[in-house]
Amino acid sequence: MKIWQAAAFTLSAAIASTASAYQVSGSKWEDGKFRLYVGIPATVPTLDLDNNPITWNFIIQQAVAAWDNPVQGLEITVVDQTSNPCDGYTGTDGVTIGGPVVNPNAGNPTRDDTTAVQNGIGLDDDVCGSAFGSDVYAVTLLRSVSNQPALYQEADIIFNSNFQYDIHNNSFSSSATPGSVTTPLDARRLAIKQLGFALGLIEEPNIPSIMHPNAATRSITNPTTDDLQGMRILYPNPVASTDPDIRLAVEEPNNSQIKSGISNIRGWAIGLKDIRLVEVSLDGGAFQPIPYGSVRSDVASTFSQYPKSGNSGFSMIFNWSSLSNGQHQISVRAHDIDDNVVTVNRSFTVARFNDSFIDNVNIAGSSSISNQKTVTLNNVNADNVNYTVKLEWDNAAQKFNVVSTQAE
Amino acid sequence: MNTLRSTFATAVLACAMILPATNASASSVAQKSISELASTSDMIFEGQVVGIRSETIGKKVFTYVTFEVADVVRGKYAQNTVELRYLGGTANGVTMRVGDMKLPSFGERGVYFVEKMAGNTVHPLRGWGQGHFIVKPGSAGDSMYNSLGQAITSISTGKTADTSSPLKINNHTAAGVSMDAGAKQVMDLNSFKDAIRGLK
Repeated sequence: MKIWQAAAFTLSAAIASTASAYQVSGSKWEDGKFRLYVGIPATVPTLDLDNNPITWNFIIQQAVAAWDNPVQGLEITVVDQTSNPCDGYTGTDGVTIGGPVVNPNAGNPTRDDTTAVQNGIGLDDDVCGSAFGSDVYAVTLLRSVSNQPALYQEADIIFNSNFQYDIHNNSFSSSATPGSVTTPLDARRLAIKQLGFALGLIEEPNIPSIMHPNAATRSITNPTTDDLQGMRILYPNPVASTDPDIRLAVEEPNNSQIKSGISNIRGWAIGLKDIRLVEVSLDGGAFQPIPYGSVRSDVASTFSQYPKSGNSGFSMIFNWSSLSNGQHQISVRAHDIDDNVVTVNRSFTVARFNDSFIDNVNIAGSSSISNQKTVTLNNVNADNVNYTVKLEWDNAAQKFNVVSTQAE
Repeated sequence: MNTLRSTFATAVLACAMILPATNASASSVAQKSISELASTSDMIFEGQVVGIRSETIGKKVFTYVTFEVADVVRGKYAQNTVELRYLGGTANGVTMRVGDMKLPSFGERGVYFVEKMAGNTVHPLRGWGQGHFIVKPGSAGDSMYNSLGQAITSISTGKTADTSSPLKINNHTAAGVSMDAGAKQVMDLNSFKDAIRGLK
């Protein structure tokens, strides 16, 4: 076993982690297609940020765009046509609202939606015959059938018309009360959140997001990166003919990077088929497996068409000073379950002291010369050898790196 | 067994089917203080779920949860059992999800804040999950948790714990209820009930 291998595998693997918090209900819309009928009468008073009149339909369309535009796998069609969200439900008088149910599976555009039952959104003073209850602003009713529990068949969003709404960026007032015009609720945030529910997300209690219970207390007025990551998990990007079977990225070391001391070999690998192995080789030596499968929500967000892209990270701590001074080659390759293989090669340079692991450093007798991004230290004593050491600022890593060591 | 129907008379459908409760979140409910929830609830009781059934009425699905009443904490109620109706559930092959309506599970013990004994609300509990507390046995006796299973450590007895802060939309936790996921000292049932009784 070469010295670099020994050094690498006696150190524990470092698993890079990008935390995500979104939560999903377990159901979604078939093929990402959702048709929403929006025909709220323009007479419902609502004001925009400049206190100019604005229609609810515009607010809903903006809320739809907040989800639909950034999520390629989602296709929301807004139909500018009045549709009582309670059509087909039984009202308080026991009579079916909007006439009898003709087709209970009509919410999806792939089905016949010419009947009274379709995805609707509106304001009302009750929830299709049931009272909202105290302090309830909006409710989304979601229907699915037992033989297809993972697919929604219909979604209806009802805002409580007993409250006043407009558009604002402030926290919701704790004194918001039914009928009050001085403490209006922000219709935009409520609409985005209710649409999030209708599309398959649920509340997440861990990080600031539009789906967080306390989003109204923060200046979050649109879906966050985490919200959108969740939506992309539900509705992945469509696979394009140009998408390769495997994508492999080596983030550390970068090409031509100067490495010293202990840091990581890391990156990510995704495949249209499951990745079964990621391995690494230095200077043409034998390939060795590298720990794979750490959380990479950023990769999932960009490449959601690749299954398991959210757990695509690989990382391993490595002592670069276990290699000799000078230029080296690293090869990382990823294999999928169909034995497709992709290899990425990088060249990098090692700057090290004579010993691969320095126990004692003394810079008491050193002097320095600095310019814009570098600092050169003379008379640096490392394990009883004097060196001239050059440090350079690495913007990507946000730290100074040793880029050369010269024994004096 | 005397059972109070919380709302309309109901016809039991022979083919009603009960499946595990869904837990999708799709509602916006204001967070209220525990004292406000207590003072605006018709009845608060400690009980145990002894029956769950679901049925369809028109296009809607309702789930009826029957509780055996162990102790009436606030309000007046003389029956041994109470039945509460939730909009949503699964019956006749259709699942309706409403809000993050976390229905009590069969056998669950808890303390429940009923908004209206004769109401026709989407959710029968005041503040939805905010009025739903679960009792679990612990090493020191019965311990209190919120509807998400988070340990409760104390109850603020202040009358309006939330009025000075911006309004929050929280279907699960009332203001004034302190929780700690890693709590070693979970509030016990009797202390919890005493605190609820003492709220103004």
